[in-house]
Amino acid sequence: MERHPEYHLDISFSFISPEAVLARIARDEAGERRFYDLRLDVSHLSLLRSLEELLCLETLKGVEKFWYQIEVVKRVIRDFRGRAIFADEVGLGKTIEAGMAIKEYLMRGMIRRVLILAPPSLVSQWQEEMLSKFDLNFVSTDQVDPGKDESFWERERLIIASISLAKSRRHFARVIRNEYDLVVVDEVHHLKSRSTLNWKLVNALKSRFLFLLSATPVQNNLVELFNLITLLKPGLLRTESKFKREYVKRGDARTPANRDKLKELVREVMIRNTRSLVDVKLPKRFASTIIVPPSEIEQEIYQKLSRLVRERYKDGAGLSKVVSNNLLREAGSSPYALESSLAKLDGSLPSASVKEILGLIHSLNGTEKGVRLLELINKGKGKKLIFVHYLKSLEYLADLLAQAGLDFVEFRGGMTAAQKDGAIDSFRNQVDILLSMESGGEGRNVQFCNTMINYDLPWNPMRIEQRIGRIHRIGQTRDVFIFNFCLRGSIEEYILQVLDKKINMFELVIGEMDAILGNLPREADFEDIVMDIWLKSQSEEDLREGFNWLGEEMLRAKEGYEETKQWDEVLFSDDLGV
Amino acid sequence: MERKPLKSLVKEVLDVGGCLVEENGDLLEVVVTPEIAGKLGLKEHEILYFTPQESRNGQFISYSSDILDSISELMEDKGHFCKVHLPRLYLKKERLDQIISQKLSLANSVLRSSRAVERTVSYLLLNFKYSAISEEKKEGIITVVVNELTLASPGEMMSTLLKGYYEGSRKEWRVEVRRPLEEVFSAACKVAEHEIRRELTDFVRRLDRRLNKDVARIEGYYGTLKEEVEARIQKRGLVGDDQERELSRIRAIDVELKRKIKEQRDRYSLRVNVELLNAIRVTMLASLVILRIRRKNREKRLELVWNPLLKDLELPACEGCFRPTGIFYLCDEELHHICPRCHECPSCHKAVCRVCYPQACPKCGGKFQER
Repeated sequence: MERHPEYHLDISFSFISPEAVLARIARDEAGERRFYDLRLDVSHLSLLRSLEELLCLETLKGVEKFWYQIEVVKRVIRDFRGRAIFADEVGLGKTIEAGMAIKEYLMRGMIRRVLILAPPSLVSQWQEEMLSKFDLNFVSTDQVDPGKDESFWERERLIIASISLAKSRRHFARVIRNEYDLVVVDEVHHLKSRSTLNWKLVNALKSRFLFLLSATPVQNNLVELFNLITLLKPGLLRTESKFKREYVKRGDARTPANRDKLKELVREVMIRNTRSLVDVKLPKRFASTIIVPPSEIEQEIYQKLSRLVRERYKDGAGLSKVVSNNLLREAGSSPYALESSLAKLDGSLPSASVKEILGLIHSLNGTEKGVRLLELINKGKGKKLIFVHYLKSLEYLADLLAQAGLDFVEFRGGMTAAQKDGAIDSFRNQVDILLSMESGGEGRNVQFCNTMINYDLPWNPMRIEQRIGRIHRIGQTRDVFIFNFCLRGSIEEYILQVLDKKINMFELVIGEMDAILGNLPREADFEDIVMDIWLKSQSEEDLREGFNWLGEEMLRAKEGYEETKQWDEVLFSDDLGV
Repeated sequence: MERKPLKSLVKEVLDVGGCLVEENGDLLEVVVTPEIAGKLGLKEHEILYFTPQESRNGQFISYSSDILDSISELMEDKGHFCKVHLPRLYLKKERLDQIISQKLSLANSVLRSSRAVERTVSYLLLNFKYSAISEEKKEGIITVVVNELTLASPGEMMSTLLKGYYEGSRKEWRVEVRRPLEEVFSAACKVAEHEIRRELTDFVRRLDRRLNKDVARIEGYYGTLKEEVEARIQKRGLVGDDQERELSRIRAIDVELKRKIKEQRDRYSLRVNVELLNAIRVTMLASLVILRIRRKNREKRLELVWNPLLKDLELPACEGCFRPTGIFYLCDEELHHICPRCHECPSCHKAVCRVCYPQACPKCGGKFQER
């Protein structure tokens, strides 16, 4: 069919000029300044009352606010009366939207007690974001063990809890005993079935307002949608059998029978923006893995440590998983990061082995990764953000860069806010290299840089995403380049094979990794799975097998996510945006 | 602008309205006249509290409280207009020629001379509230500033002014020359319109998208109806009167489609009501730069201000759209100084002065849209 021309609104303006104002101006008849300010404040009051203006916007820190996010907050509060599904496509900032709505409610004095339920892996991220961006000091179940702190659920006003913990037999009854003003549930596709404890917990919570967050709210069938909407507005879709009769095609649980009517109903509780709808484009990401052959000494250090950790862990001889994990991650970063932890463990590890490894570290004269890093830096101009997890590795790199005559600034924990701002300013205006620890610029804008180097690699993919998110986010206009360093034969090399080669993690959109991890059948963290494989492997063959298995699981999880994403796109199309 | 906490705002308004207000920690104790009590729905002696956890006697006030609907009535006619004068600031008097040549580009004229004099100039800062109403509504408040002598609109000035960088002096300062208020206000309305259009960009885009979606749906529907009629003609092999009858049906469908599209466009059309809330007149000493510009043996005097607050020359306002412009043309008819957009017909691209010809192009007859 012939495509119609694009229509534009007819816009007309009419001005009203009250005589009371104009006559005074004409006569130059001025009143007091404070009354002028007050009249303006009173006029703004009406906008605040009708939610045309939000109170929270001025208070946000380091948050780039986009128009559609502001619209979402207004609609959720004004039109949805605080009970809604935030279903924006990944990468558009659902957490920011929810945070803004929480802050707005708090500032308006409409809520006091807030409970955020998130998957365990996201609890600390929520806490960090609420504090750094919204100045909201939530207490989380990562910080406090509510099992030991009897009055935790009753006492705290702002709680971020792992949903797994909250639904546990020990806590369920105590969590639901309290009344909340607002409950926020992240990744609500885990609430898809009414037989799950997740669903039962949220259903049992007493709360005036309820935010449900997920980029893919329904995954397998339309009844999941019924289950979510029933949490928000019981009865809107009537009973499950009536819902199925009216809205689900017979014999096909994924196809709506009455699409338009269903959409109308869903529109009452769900907002879903897509990038195309809100005209947000994210540039591409390009990733390169740089596998560095270790020097003989480096290889010896890594192998000896690996062997030692495996043996001690297997024997149950005083080396916990956490300590083992840390030692191996330090070794993957740089031998200098390993040195001090190893020295501290001299009592719990065989002294001879520790001394031998420390001796090898002392005999080192730099690292092969360091050499390759300098080569990479010297290859191209432009700003580069180098991430490193450990302070000792950062200090080593700082020496290395200084010796090579390269100008750089450091960004590390322990610096004051002013020092951090100064570092970012000088990275923006003067030097081309920012050497940053994990907290690199959280909440600070470094999008003027489009190249990131992971000198070491976190094992938790969400941590990697957080690093990438510093430069690859809405507002970045140039393609983003990511360089990942790892030593040949290290755990990081295996991890990169899974994340980069198998599922192309570095080319995903921010937020997608989280969705993929959520699709893994095991509840254990990716990091734990990696550690298990490493500790249990006796040979290279075992390692390859173990990581191949993990790669396949991740691939299946990714395919599952993509299938769901496509289905949700078809199901909701662009009809539920602001 | 930083928002005042609700409690402070309520206290100030009640104060202004003649109520007796005492602050007591988180509370306000208020004594009001029976008339005000009736107006606001309060008792004559009332306790107001602003944080929800306090469950004591009195009224809890939040942004949702009804009392706020009527509170503005207590302002009566106060706060419509005030004046401030800026303290004496450094005035640039030298090397202004250099700045003029850097900032201004005279497209079809030449600068004959320039000189600077010290003058007290005044600006009007006007606050407008707008309500944009279509299928949905959006409201906001914008502030515009207009130089009352040159009609320039140095918007950058506002961020400094709003920071309170002035003395609240009530001394009378003589402003030697300013344009009639009608002219200043008319320029301010134009500037306000641009500013509101800018603020409404995303709102309009959203409505545009919905309008086009609705039109596409309607076109799809009527397109299917037409296809059905066409298929009927084909299938039955209709000719002559029978065919004509069906073809007239198609023509009727087209007419109906046009009507439906117009209906949609009307439904989505956006009406923006703008109301002047209040204004403030700011006066200060500035360097007034007087330029003599020549075009085809005719000369125009143009006045610009070197603004000591901005430490920069204010760009002249285009006489067509009142937007600041660094490049300008003088029109042949009246020597209006206009920006490139107001100097060209969007249809035939020929030179035309949109101040002299506001409605349509005298060369091609093309109607001008709102800019």
